[in-house]
Amino acid sequence: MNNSVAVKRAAPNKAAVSKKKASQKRRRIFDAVWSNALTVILAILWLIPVIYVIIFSFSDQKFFIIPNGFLPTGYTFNNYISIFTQSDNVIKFTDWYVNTLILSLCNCVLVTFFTVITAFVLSRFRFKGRKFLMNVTMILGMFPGFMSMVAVFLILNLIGLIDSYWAMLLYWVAGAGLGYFVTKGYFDTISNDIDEAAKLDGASQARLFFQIYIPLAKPVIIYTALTAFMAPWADYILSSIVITSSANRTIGYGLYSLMTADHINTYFTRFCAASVVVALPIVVLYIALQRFFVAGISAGAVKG
Amino acid sequence: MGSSNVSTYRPSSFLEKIKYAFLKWKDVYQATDGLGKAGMIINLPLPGLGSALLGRLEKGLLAFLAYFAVVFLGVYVAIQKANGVALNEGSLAILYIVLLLAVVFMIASAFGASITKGAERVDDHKWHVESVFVRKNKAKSGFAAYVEDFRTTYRNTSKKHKVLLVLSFFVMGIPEFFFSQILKGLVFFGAQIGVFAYLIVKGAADIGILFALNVISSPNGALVNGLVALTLIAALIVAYVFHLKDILALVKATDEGKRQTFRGEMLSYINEKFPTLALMIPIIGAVAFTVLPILFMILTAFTNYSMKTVPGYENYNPLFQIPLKWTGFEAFGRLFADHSSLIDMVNVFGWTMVWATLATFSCYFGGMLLAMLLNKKAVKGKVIYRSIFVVAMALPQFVSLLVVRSMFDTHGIVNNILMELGIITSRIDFWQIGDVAKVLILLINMWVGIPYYMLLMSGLLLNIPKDLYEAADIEGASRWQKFKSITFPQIFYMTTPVLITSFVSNINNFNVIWFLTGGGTVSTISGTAGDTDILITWLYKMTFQAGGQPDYNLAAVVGIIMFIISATFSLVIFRRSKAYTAEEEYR
Repeated sequence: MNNSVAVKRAAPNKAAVSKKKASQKRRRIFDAVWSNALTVILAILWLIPVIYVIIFSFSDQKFFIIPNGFLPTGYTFNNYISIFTQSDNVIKFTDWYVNTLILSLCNCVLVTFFTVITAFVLSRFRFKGRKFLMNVTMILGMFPGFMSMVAVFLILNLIGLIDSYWAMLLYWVAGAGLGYFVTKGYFDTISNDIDEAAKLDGASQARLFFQIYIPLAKPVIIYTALTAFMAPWADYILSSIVITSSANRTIGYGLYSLMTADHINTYFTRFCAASVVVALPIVVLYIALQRFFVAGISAGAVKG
Repeated sequence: MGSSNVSTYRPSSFLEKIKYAFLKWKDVYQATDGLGKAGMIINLPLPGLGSALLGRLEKGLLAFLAYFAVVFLGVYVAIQKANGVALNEGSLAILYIVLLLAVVFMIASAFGASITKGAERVDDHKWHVESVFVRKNKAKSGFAAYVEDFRTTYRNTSKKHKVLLVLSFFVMGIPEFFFSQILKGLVFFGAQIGVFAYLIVKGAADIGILFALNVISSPNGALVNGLVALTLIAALIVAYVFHLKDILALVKATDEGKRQTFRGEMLSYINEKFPTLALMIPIIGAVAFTVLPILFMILTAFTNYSMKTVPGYENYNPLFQIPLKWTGFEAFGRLFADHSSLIDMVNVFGWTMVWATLATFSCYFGGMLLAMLLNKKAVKGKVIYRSIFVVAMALPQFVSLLVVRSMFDTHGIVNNILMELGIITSRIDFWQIGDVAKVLILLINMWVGIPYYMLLMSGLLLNIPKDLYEAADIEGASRWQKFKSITFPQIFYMTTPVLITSFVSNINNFNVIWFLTGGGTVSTISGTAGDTDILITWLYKMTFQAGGQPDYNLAAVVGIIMFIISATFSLVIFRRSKAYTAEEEYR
C-alpha cells in the first residue's frame, strides 16, 4: 500500500534503488490504470438501472416494450404531470406520497428516540435482567416477522385501527426498542470517564443522556434516524395487510400495485416517474449524510 | 465416603450410580434458589430448556433441539400408526429407540446439568456444588427476601402502617394515597380497575374460549382475544409485585425516618431508576406487537386454524365451515405425512440456506473489495464514485427491484439487446427458469447489497493501524499477503456480528425474492412452493395467498421449525462473538 516508506527505509545502494524505482513506477501506472478502469466500469454497472428509470420516466409511451430498439420513441414531461394531477382508483400518487412522508417523519422522530434511549440504557446501566433482556430481544428478532402479521392485524382490529396509516406508525414505534443493536454498539465505544466526570458535577442520568451522550453519538443517531426514515418507503408487507383502501396506502405498496400484470401495461412509465420523484429527496439525503452514516455503522455495527 | 475431608466420590456399581444421580439432583435442588429450582423442574420434561434459561445457552439449546427432534420423530411415527399405516418391525424398532433416546436425554440432561464435573461430596452429605443452577450470588431470592423483610417490618411498625401493609395485599393504589403518593396511587388503582373491568366484561370469557376452543361464531379473534386477556393478567401481576415491594419499602423508610420527598422520588427516576422509566414504553410495545403475535403464531400451529375456520368462509361454502379447535401435534404430523409438503420444505430449506450463504458472502466480499478499490490512492474522484454507489443503496428497494425485473422481462431491454445482437433467437423468460432466475437474483442482490458493505468497510479500513502495513512493506510482503494476513483478519474479526445478523436477515429477505420473481414457477411434482421461493416467501404464500385456502397452521409449523434452527444457530455463534463477550473492551 505504502511503497515509498519501504523504499526510504531499505535503501541499500543507488543503482539497485533506481532500478527498483523504475519498476515500481511502471507497476504504479499499471495499477492506477486498471483500478480506475475497474471503478468506472463498476460505477456504470451500478448506474444502468438508475438511468433506465430516468429515461423511461420521460417516455411518451405507457409501457417498457419497444418494438425495435431499446430507447423510447419520444420524450415528454407528461408522466410527471399526470402523477401529480391525475388520481383514479388505480393510482393515487399524491395521497400515497403524503401518507408516506407524514409517516416517515413521525417514524423518524419517535423510533429514533426510543431506539436511542433503549440502546443508551442497555449500554450504560448494569441492572438485574439486562443480559436476559438482550438475549430475549436477540431471539425475538429471528422470528419471521410477517408470520405474526395475522395477529398484528387482529390486535389492531381490536383497537379499531385497521385501514389507518397510524396503525403502521404504532407498530413501528412499538418495535423500536428491539432495533437497538447498532446504536448500542456505538454507545459501547464511548469511554466511561466522561460520565464519571459529569456525575461529579451532579448531573442526573437523564441530563447526561441528553446533554452529553446525544451530541457524542451524533453519527449513530443520524444513522438510526435515516434508517427509521426509510422504513415507510421500503415497507410492503405491513401496508399490504393493515391498509385496505387505496387512498391510505403507502408508496411501496401503492407503486407495487402498478406493476401487477393488470396495470403494468398502462402504468409503467408513470411508475418510473413516480419512482424518480420518490427517490430524489432520499438520495440527496443519503449523499449529504453519508459521512455520518459511515462513522455510525462502522463503529456501531462492529461492536453491536 | 465417611472420611471427614472433602473427597471426590466415584460410584462403583451401576445401581449406585443411578442412586447417586438422584441424590445429586436432590442436593443441588436444595442448594439452589427459587429460579434455580424452577430451571431444574423445567429441565425434567424439557431437557436443556431449563439450563438454557439459566444461562447455559449453547449446550442447553442444543440439547433441547436434539430432544425436540427425537420426540418429534417419535410423535410422527406414532401418528402414522394411529392413521392406520401399517407399522413394520423396522419402524416399531425406530419408535422404541426414539422413546428410549428421549428418556436417556431427559435423565442425562436433568442430572448432567445439575452438577458439573468434579463435584465433591462434603461430609454433611451435601454436595459441594458447582452448577448452573446454583447461581453465584446466593443472596436470598426475591420472594424469600420479601417474606422475611415483611415479617420484621410488620412486627416493628405502627398500627396504621400494619393496616396499610395488610391492605396492600388486597387493593393496589389505596395504600399509596395514605403516603400521599397521589399520582402513583391513581395509576395503580386505575390499572387495577381497568384490567378487572375488562376481564369481567370480556376477558374472562375470552380466556374460557381460549382453553375450550371449539368455536365457530367468531373464531378469528378467539386466540388473540384470549392471549390479550392473559397478557393483561400477567401485566397486572407484575404491577402487583412492584406495588407490594414499593409499599413495604415506603413503610420501612417512613419508620426509619429516611423517607424521600416526593421530589426526591421523582428525581430517582431520572437517576438510578432511569432504566425503569426509559424501558417501560419499549417493553410494553414489544410485548403487545412482537411477543403476543409470536405466541399467537406458536398457538396456531397446534390448532386447525385455516381458511375454513375464518368467519366469512360460510359465504362461500357454509357446509364446510368448521370450528376452530385444538388439534395438538396434528399439523406437525401432517407436514411430515404429506409427501408434497415435505418435499417442498426440504427443497425450500435447501435453497434458503444456499441463498442466505451466497447472498451474505457475495455482498460481504464484494463490499470489501469495492471499499479497498475506492480506498486506493490511484483512484481519483472518490467522493463521486462513492455517491454513485450510495444512490443504489438509497433507492427504495421496491423501485430498483421492480425496475430490474422489468429489464429482464420477456419483452424487456435485455431480451431486446440479445435479440438485436443475434445471441438468442427466441425471447427468454428469465424469471421463470429456475436456475437462471436464481443466479440473477444473487447478482441483483449484490447490486443492492454491496454499497452498504462498501460504506461499512471503508469506515473499517481507516481503523486498521497503519503501522501494520508499514511493517509488512519492510518485510517485502506482496499485496495478496498483506490482504491475507492484515486486512482480512482485521476486518473479519471486527465484522463477525454483522455477518451473523445479515445472514439471519437474508434468511428472512422477503423483498428481493418477492419483487423479482414472486417465488417463481410452481413445479408440478410438489405442492405450493415455487422454484425460487425461500422460506419466508413460501410462508407468505401459504398464509396470505394459497388460492383462498391458506394453511395458517401448516405455515406456523414450518415457521416454528425454521425459527428453532436459525435461532439456535445464530445465538450460539453470537454468544461466542466479540460483541457479546468483550462488551466492556473499549471503556
